[in-house]
Amino acid sequence: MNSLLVFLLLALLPQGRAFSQSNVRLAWQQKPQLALAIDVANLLTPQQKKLLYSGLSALSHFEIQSRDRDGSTALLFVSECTLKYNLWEERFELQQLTQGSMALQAFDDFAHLCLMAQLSSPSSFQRITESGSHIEILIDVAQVSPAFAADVRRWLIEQQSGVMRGLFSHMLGELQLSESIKLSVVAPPLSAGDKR
Amino acid sequence: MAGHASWVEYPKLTTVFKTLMHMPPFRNKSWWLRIVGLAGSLTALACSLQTAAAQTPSSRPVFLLEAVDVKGSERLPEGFLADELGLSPGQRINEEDLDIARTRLLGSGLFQSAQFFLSKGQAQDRVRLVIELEDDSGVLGPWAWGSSIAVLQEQNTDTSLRNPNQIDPYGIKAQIVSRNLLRHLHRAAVQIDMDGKGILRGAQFAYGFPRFSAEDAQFDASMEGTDGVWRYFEVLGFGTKGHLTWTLDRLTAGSFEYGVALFSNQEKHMRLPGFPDAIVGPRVGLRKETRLLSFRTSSGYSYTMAALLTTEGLRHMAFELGGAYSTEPWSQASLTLQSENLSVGGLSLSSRHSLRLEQALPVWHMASDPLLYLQGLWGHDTYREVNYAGTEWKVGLRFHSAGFIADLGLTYSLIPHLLKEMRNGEVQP
Repeated sequence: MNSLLVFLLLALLPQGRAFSQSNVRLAWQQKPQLALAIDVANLLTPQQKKLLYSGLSALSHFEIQSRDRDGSTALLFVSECTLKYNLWEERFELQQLTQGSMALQAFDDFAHLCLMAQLSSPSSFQRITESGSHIEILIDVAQVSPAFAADVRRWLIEQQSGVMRGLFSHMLGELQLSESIKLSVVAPPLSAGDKR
Repeated sequence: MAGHASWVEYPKLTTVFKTLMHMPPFRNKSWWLRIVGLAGSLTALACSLQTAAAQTPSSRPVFLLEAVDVKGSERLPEGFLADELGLSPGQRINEEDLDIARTRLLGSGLFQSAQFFLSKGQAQDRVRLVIELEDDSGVLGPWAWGSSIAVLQEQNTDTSLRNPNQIDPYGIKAQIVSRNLLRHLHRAAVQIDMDGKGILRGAQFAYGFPRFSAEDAQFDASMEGTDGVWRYFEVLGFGTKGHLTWTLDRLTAGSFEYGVALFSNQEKHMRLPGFPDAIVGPRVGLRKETRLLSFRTSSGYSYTMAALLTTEGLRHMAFELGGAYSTEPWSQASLTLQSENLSVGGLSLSSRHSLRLEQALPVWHMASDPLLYLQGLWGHDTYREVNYAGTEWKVGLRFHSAGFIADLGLTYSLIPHLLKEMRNGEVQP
């Protein structure tokens, strides 16, 4: 068997937005080289999908980290895409940092390019192949960039002086500028069946 | 992300000025010729930039707005939002306009998120816009109320000298503020300070015009009066102060303030001995704040410098200089060093310095987030040959819930001898 599909019930961390139940698809692939494929397209919440179809530019950020037993983390994979849905042509325009601009006919094309990771570097998954590992997955979809968020925050901080001095910001919560999911899953070790 | 709105980062004015002064048109000329030449050049540059901006069409697609629907919040009326954001049916907009509108909405401090969605209209390039707002749960009510009440028991050398067993009853300081008055972003604050005998020792009223974000100047008006004899550590030079201030926030060095100020010591109780009766004039200043002054102060700094200009020469101008630095010395603690100074010419100087340590308590964190504080204040005033100084220690417990802060404290003051005599009626102010 070239690949083994593992469906895991995910543990929802407090930072994540509410959703009932989701799946992440992990698969060991042998060809062209040994790689751990992680597909998170099914994890998107309805609100995240709504942002992607908003007709305005949306930024997706997909990140994978491994977590050791001592709690230390290591970044394994990052993908960032800027996507815009053309309302009249009913297709996506993708601006990816590595591959430039392109037109996509379907949502699945976006998911394939921006919501799928292939960990093929031995250093990335050596520990996983031997004994499995905890993997943390973050998916952010936003209409604004982190720089925009920082600008707004700075503006609000500057507003504390003057008339509202001292009583402005205790009424100020955290800005929620992206729809975010953060999950922790257990990636199983490479079994003999996967190696065949 | 492509196309997000952001405020322009301006280069330092001094650097630009020095660079321009060394360019051929200005080099080797007298200073007044240089300044006149520079002003003319800048005016011409501004005009040409404005013309170019007006003539350059946006490269982004332009849509005709067919309908606008705002969902999720009642904090700002739909008509007011449409007017202020420039998003009304029939208008032509592009994505940049929507980015600016988003900046304005989030800059109001009323919403936690603002998401925009377009859908196809009845014809090509016509769109319907839906704005989904999420109220900031930390903001209380549609008018964004906030309030604080401090119950302070004061013990000072004055009363203890007369009767060692006498302790003043509790005094109360209360403040109420709204950042969205009438649901139109008007801002107002009222504060009163009443001592344990029911005598008003201080009051403040402040108002700010509606303002969305950084592109506009902000207008604030405030008037405050404080009894300098009984609230020595809260008075800097003058017992009564009024401000009409416009603020521009688009400088990297900080916010530029300009307006009119009135500093007065006319009222019998609202005065500090030794300082002029009144100074009125235009006031200009610069200030910067990098700390989030939340219930717990975050690390960072602030500074302020200002001058109240008069036509009677330097000796009658007032200068203000202040700064603060906050740091986290250990977990869940905040240490703030603050200094405020006001001088009138070279004749008089009023200074207040404080060191405040706050330690969050690991109990009832979710309920009221309580913290203990210890604060030391030092005040010093000098006018010609007259000098007086005092010290105050304050310890207390603060906690909050939603938009309400409570403060229970005990203060011990060593007030200046001159003020003691004035309290006892031995000396007239």
